[in-house]
This record gives sequence, C-alpha cells and structure tokens, in this order.
Amino acid sequence: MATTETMDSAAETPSASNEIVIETRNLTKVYRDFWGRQKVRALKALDLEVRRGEIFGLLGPNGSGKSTTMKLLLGLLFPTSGQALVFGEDPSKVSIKERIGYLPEESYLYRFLSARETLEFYGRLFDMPASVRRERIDKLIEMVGLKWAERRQLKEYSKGMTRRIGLAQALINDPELIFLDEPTTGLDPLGIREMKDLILRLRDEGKTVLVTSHQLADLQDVADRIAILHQGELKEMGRVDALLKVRDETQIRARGLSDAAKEEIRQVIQRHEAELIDIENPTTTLEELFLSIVRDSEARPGRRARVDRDDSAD
Amino acid sequence: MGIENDIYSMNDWLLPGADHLGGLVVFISAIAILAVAGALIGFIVSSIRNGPFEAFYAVGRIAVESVPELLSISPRRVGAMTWLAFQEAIRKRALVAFALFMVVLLFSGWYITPNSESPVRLYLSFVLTFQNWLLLLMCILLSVFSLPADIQNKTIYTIYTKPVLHWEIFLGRLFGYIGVGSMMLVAMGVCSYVFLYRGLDHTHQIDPQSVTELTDTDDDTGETKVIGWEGETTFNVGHSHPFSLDADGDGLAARERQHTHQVTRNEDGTFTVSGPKEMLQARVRHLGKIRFLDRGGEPTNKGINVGNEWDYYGHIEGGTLSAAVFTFDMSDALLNEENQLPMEFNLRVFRTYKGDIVSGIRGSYYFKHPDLDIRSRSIPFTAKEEAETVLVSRSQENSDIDPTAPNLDLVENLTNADGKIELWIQCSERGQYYGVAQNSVFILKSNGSFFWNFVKCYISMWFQVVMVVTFGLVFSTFLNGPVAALASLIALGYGFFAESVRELANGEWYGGGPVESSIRLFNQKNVMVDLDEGVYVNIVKFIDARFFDGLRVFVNMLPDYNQLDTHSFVVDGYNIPGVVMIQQLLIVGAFFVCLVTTGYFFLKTREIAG
Ligand SMILES: Nc1ncnc2c1ncn2[C@@H]1O[C@H](COP(=O)(O)OP(=O)(O)OP(=O)(O)O)[C@@H](O)[C@H]1O
Ligand SMILES: [Mg+2]
Repeated sequence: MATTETMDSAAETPSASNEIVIETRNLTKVYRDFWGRQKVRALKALDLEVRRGEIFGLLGPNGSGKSTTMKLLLGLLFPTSGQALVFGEDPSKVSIKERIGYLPEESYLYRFLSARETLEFYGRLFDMPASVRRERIDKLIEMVGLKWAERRQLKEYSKGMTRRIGLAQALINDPELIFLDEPTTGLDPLGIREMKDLILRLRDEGKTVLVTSHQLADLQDVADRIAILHQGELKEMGRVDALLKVRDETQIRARGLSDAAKEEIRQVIQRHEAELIDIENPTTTLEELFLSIVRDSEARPGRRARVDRDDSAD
Repeated sequence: MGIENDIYSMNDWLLPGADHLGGLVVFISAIAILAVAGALIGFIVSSIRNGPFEAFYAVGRIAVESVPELLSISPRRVGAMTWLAFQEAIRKRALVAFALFMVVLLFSGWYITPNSESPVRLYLSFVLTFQNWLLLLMCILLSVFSLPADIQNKTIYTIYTKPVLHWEIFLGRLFGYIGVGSMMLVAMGVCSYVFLYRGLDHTHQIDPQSVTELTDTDDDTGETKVIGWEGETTFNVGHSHPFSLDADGDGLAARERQHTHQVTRNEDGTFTVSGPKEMLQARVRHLGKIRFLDRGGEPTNKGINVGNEWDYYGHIEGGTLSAAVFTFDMSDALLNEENQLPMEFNLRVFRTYKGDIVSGIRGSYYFKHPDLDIRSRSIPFTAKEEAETVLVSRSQENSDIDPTAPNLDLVENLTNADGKIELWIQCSERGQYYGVAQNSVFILKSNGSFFWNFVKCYISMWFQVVMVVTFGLVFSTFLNGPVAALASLIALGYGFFAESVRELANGEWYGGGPVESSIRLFNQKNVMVDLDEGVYVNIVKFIDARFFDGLRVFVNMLPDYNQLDTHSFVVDGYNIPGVVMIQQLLIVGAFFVCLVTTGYFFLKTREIAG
C-alpha cells in the first residue's frame, strides 16, 4: 500500500470537478452467518474517492467484491468497519436517494408489472409532479427501445429487455449519481454500444457514474478512472490511459520508412540523437493488465500489485 | 367476544379500577415494555457486532431518527406501495382462495333450507365461522410471504434505493393487504347475506277447505258472528305452521323453525301466506349489574364456586337466602305496548343430586326497590338449560299485605329516584344451584336491525383481518416466509384461547406471587397458612402485586381474538352493543400502533442485502 498516487490525476479529466461525491474510508465488509460466525471477507479496507462528473469503473473477477462495494454505498449493507459516504452522508439516509439511480446486477423488478407500470411505480416514489413523471416515462421507454413492449408484463421479457427496463428505472429521477452494476450483461452488441454511448452521454450531462464490470473492454472505452479489485482488496487504481502505459518500453511509429532508414533509426536510437517521428509508451490492453494483476496478486496475496506504476509522473 | 362475556362500560374498561388495570394503563405499560425491550435487544445485538460504545450510538440514532421519519411519511409513496401490494395480491394468488370460498359457499347454500330445526343458527354459525377462518388464513398467507419474497428476489433492493422510508414500506404493504382482505370480506359478506335470504325464503299454501271458521253467537240477539279462523298451513320444506286469524282475517302463524308467516284471508275466501318473518333477529339486550348474596343473605363477591366452571358464573344455592341481585336502569320506555316488561332468563342449573332432568329446577324472582323495603311478591319459575322469554306485567302484587297499595307498579313504585330497580333471583330446591352471570338475565329492549348487526359482525371480522395482517407482516420483517406463517398461525391459535390464559393471570393465586411463594418454600409454610404480619410481609405482597400487574400487562400484549369475534351475537340473534364495537376498535388501534412501530424498527435495523 505504498502509493496514494492516483487521486490528483482525476483533475485532468475535463468534466470532473474537485467535489467528492463518493468516499470510502477503510471500508470493510465481512459476511456472517446467522450465528455471527465469519463466512466471507468480501471487502478489505477499501479507500476510494469518486469526484463529480467522472465515470469510475470498478473492475474485478467474479466474487471480488464489486457488488458488495456498491451495496455498501447504497446502504443495502452495513459496513463491518470503516465508513462509506455518498454526498458526504451516510448512505442509508433517505435524502440522498433522491439524487441517485441504481441498476442492480440482475434486474430486481416486479415481474407481475408491465414496463410502464414499473416506471410509474418507481416514479411515484419520487417527489415529482404527475405530468413530469409521465413525460419522463415516455422518454425513457423510448430511449431504451421498449415502446413496442411497454404493456407486457416483465415476466414475459427476455433478459436484455429486462436489463433495459432496469436501466430506465435507474434513470427515472434524473439522478446526479448513477450506480451501474454490470450494465452490459445480457445485452446484444448493439445494446452494449448503446449502453456505452449512454454512459458517455450521462457524463456529458455532468453526472457521475460508478460502473462495475468484468467485461474489460467496456470499461476501457468509457471509464475515466478505474479501480481493480481482487478478493476484496484494491489492487490498482488510476486513470485508464495512465494505467495502460508501459513505462519501461518505447514504441516508435513511422510511415514510409525504407529498410535502410529503419536500420538507420535503429542506429540513431542507439546513439540517442535522431529526430523521432512518434515516440511514446506502448499501451497494453486492459485485459492483459488485468490478467497480470490477478496473477501477481495470487502469487503475492495481500499486496497491492505493481506499485511501481505512477501515472502522475507522465 | 360472545354473548356470555361481561360487557363493561367505557369508563370501567379504559380506566383503572379496584380489580383491574384498565385498558389505558395496559396500553401505556405495553408501550413502555416494548420500548425498553426493543432498546435492550437492539443494544445487545449491536454490542456483539460493534462493541458497546458503537451500539449505544446506533440505538440512539435509530430511536432519534424514527420520529422525524414518522412525521415525513408521504401519502403518495405509501399509496404507491399499497398499489404494489394490491397488484401483487391480485395478480398472484389471492383470487384462487376466494374462488375456493365461493365454491364452498355454493355447496353449503345448497343445503341451507328451513328444513332443519334452527336453520338460521345453523347457517349463520357455519358460514360465519368458516368465513372467518378462511379469511384469516388467507390474510396470513397474503401478508407473510411477500416481504421475505421481496428480500429473496432482491426486488427490495430497488425499492431501498428509492427515497422510501421504512414506515412507508411497512404501511404500504399493510394497507395493501388490509385492502385485499377487506375486499374479500365485503364480497363474502354480500354473498352470505344474499344466500341467507334466498336460502331461507319459502312460503306455504293454505287449503281453504281445511280451515275452520270460528263463530260466536250473541246471547241477546242470537246472531252468529265470525270471530276468526283456525287452521294449519301446508307442509313445505320440512315443516308447517298452525295459525289463527282474528275477525279481520289477519294473524301471525305459530313460530316454528325460528320464524313465522303473516297470514291473511282474502275477500274470495282464499288465504295468502307471506314469506318468513322474524327469522333474522337482533334483539337488543338491556343488561344490569349483578351482585350476589351468600346463603346467610350477606353480600359476597361471587357466588359459591362449584368448581368446574370458569369464574364467569356465580352460583346461588337453593333453599337458602342466597340470591343473585340484578340492578337495572328502568324506565317506561322498556315496557311494550301491553305494559309488560319483556325479559329473558338464561340460568344455568347445577345439580348436586339427580332430579328430574326434564322438568328443570324451581326458583322464584321478585322486584325490589333498591333503597326502600318494598318488593313485589315472588313469582315462581322453572329454569331449564335454555333461554326463556318472560313477559313481566307492569303491575305486580305487593308482597306485604297493604290495603293502601295492593299492587306495585314497576316504574312508579319500585324504581328509585336514580331510575334503578332490583331483580332478585333465588333457587328454591335445596341442594341445587343456579349459575348466574351478568348476562344471564336481561330486559329485551327492542328489536334492532339484523342487517346492521350483520354489518357489525363483519366489522369485527375486519378488525381481526387488520390484526392478522399486521402480525403477519411484523413477523415477516425478521422471519422467512414459512416461519413467519407458522408464527402467525401460533399467534392466531393462541388468540383463540387467550381468554383462559388471561383468566389464569387474573385469577386467585394461592400462596401469593413469586416472592411470597419463595418465602413459603424457604420457611416450609403451607400455601393456606397466612404469613406473620409485619412490614416485610407488606413489602413482599407489594412486590408480588406488581409482578401480577406485569403479568397481566404481558398477557394483554398478546392478541385475544375472542374479543374481536362477535359472530355468536348474530347467530343467537342478539344485537352487538355499540360499546363492544368501540372497545374492539380501541384494542385493534392499540395493537396497530405497537405492531407498526415494532415492524418499523425491525425493518430499519435489518441489513437488507445481508
Ligand atoms: N449475501 C451474502 N452472503 C454471504 N456472502 C456473500 C453475500 N454476497 C456476496 N458474498 C460473497 O462476497 C464476495 C464478494 O461478492 P460480490 O457479489 O461483491 O462479488 P462481485 O465482485 O460483484 O462478483 P460478480 O462479478 O460475480 O458479480 C463473494 O465471495 C461472495 O461469495
Ligand atoms: Mg457483482
């Protein structure tokens, strides 16, 4: 746990402000059984800060504690120790619920209601006039592309359709802060693209998004910053572009070089004197990074992986 | 609540008295007990998790938050939750059970005819009891599984991330299921009422040939005049009615199978018989206050304890001065058109030796001025084990031979300035006993509307629905579905014999309470021996008395469904007194407040995704 490097890098994200929307301090969750005996240590001393206007990704293999973190931030779980703050307050406070939206990992909706009834029901739990509610419901149904099935009961819906109505439900109150737990599972490629576009659009509207996934490609495209969890421990956190840079390697890209020229460049580089057309750190894919972290973590459990990475230096 | 139960005035019921705590004290104590127990349990559980300091803070915070949360309950959100519960019940299962009820009702309706000896009793007691149970079971199933299912399906996560208060989640569900229960109740009520009317409806014919004309010959003129008709109706649905008509050709047929018919003779000599009359009754009881005199004629708390009965009956010994004295509020208004006082006697008889069982036990009654030494002459009667209507003439013979007042008027002479009159009942047969209770003897005030009585009975049933749903929902906040169902069933089952438990808690405890009995045990004193007098004895007695008070409060905190069950009034054709309805409302209200609060705290302290 040597580095605390990444926090200030968020300032570089154009739309992110310095206002901290989500904060966890030493957040720990131990699941216990009925008798109070310890079953699983799902989350170990997590420190996290998410700022207004950023898209923050939580990445990790199955069972790494992503959903647990989210539930703690939503007040669905009580921390075993440590603290979770949303808008600077205890997440179980009702007042903050006006300002958040949540898409659970599976759609936990009432299957005997139709899509329209579902949105109508959740809409009524918020303080908004009936006319605004109706307008929003129309807009959201349109947005998630379920106009054609809005009167059918959810038990007849396919998985992807349920996901879509779940998303609409999460946005019913036009929230400032949106929790998306694996938003792309169950969606077709087009749906995934739409979901990513939506997340980016939400950011453009100035909203903060906390998104979890194990679909690495999803986060790579959209997240401003990510945190990588493994077995309940924070392994890595930082800006996506920074995390993916490999600092002890250099990549040169050029166009129209002859073989002689290439040879020459090689020599030039050897002499450290040539004019470089393009020189930068090569990027790995998130997948490679992820796998290496997991391997590293399994080899040396309890340690933060690859602590030498320091993106603030770039 | 049966017709046998003592009916207390509002004041006696609510306020503390010499021999009871009164509803108000019980309610306040119950709240205090719940609050202390809740805080204590919360503290202990929380301390195990997070240590005592954190626990103290957590319990305090939850308690403090509850009040502003209560005040910010939004009807719109409760409405939305109610709507959801309603939809769930309707779209998922409740209708199936209701259909079942309709089928059973249809089948039973088939067999409801005036064929049986007492058709109204039979039908009403079957339908009301069956409905009551079916409805309560349905309400348990309805209320108990939804919250656990919500937690298991995790649909509650989505609710919890919306700005909904725990109060609203609980109340919304509660109102939803009470709403569904009420709908079923109303439907059941309407169906039974219609079935009752249609099932019992019948008429008879009269063959003009079989009717005898009654004539009278005027002694002076020698003219014969028709003074009436006599005959018997045809035999339909298992019975027929003899009848006699007056000179105008009108009359009521004899009462048979709990009803009569209006019979009229038409111009052309045929007869018309109306549909059944006086079948569905709601007689209004005018109850008095009872006290007992022992065999020496001295006032006593209760009659002799015959041993095999609950404390409800006092017993008066035959052939002694022992008497049961009823004090009634008396006025002209209680007399009927013939200047008679309609009364009903429901005395129990207890034999110490076998006599002639059929002929009953002889006794007598008389009226007495409460303050003066004037009384009417004793009127003999025979008590059998059944209700008996007595029409007491307004003018009674004076028991003293007083030429200035050979007769005493019930209202003018025997009623005192406060409008009270005393009725004394004694048993004449040596060695036999009457069992008498407050409700054994009463004045029949008037005939109330059966329809409203029926409605009142359903309102009582509705109170039970509210109780059952609330209990079920509270259980389901911390138990899983099947266990909560079991707990609700146990609570319901307990509720139906709660009365005896309460009697036990209120009854005489030989040898005193826990402290006194320990001392007796220590000193090896028999339970019947009095302890030595002294300060310490008083302290011991005081502590024990408080223990019993506590026990009584505790017993009252458990539901007593008998108090909410008025169907026996309707079955026996008695009006349900308004004061009973108000008391029921208060009981249910008190439980409601306590249970909703309990449910709120359970829900609030529960880790929903844990
Ligand atoms: N209610 C629970 N009771 C006991 N253990 C639980 C509970 N919920 C989660 N866990 C355990 O906590 C750990 C973290 O679970 P969590 O659901 O947070 O993982 P995740 O990162 O969201 O995984 P996935 O990618 O599969 O959704 C797992 O080991 C899981 O078994
Ligand atoms: Mg998960």
